[in-house]
Amino acid sequence: MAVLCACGTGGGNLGRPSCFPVFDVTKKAILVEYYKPDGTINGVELASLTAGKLDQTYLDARIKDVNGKTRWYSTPELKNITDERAEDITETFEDTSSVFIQEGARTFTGLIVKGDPVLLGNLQKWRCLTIGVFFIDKAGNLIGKQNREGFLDPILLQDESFSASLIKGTDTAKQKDSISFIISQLENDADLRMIEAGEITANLISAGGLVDVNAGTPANVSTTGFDVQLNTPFGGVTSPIPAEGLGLADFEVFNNTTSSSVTIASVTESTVTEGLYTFVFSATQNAADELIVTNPAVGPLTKNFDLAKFTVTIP
Amino acid sequence: MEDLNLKQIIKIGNTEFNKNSFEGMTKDEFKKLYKGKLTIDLDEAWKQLKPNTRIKKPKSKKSQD
Repeated sequence: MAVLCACGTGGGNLGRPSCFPVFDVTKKAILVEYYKPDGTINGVELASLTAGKLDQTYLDARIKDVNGKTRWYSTPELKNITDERAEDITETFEDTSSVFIQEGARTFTGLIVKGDPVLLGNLQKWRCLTIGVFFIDKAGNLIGKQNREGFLDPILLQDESFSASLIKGTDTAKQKDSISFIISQLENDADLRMIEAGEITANLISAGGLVDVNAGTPANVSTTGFDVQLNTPFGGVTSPIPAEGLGLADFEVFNNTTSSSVTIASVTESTVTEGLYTFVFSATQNAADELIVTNPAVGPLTKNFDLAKFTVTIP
Repeated sequence: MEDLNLKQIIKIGNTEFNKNSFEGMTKDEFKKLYKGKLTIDLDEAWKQLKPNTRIKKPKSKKSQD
């Protein structure tokens, strides 16, 4: 970012307090859509923190947000971080002197150990979005930028700079996903700020992202219920990892034919087949009705699962 | 959309029930709805979902005038 010269006020003071915090090495990144659907920046409104602390309730509301457009997407732990600016761009004259034109671009790279093609696919979905990023450092600080009063905002990435790739394992190295991106030229390192770990009561450093859940073909469908197998996309093609531990509050059913919500009377997780759930409705649905099953409309989600909506047609 | 809270949810075995969804339902209707769907004792489940909530009226004391 071009820095305006302070011609009218003189240079900035160069003193420092005797003791002050600095950023530690990055351990995780939190990807966000930079703009919320209403057009405002998807930042942390400091006034919304309880007693100035970023607590678990706040963190859950962001990481388990039912609205994917405002959700925080925390990466697994990152290794071998590089986060450096390229050399300044200068103009050099015939007498070999040079003048500063602009800072070089800041490029970030990191590795996700045991990264796999499923995670890679989800990372690739970010490529065409307008992305912002917060960093979590080793000390547990949440790092963003502050150039808007009352907010810690995500750092804007350069459009189309986000890249992810799979690094296959070798005789001496584990399989990994790598991510890289470039910080927008509109950003200024001098705006970087943090919420210090001491002001964060949430378990930020161990916060993980949500896991996708996909439904199989509903079975035993009747006017009062159905069975469905819920799996994550992880695992083998014949041995997917099931989504276990879901309950009544993790689902919502909407009758798309009658445009009305369907009250779920009960949800039962099979004790025999992991991830197999039986749904029962309290009111009988009509033949040929199309039901849509989704995450609950009101968040935050109670588990670390994000259910892809699926339909059930009443026979 | 119904916003469930923990007070409405009763867990019996591996099943989470929405307690509110059984209002107005008889025991026979409940047993018919769940016939063949659950391995738990339906009579026991019904007891938990539809406890006897009738409040006993306090006995009126005769005036001691």
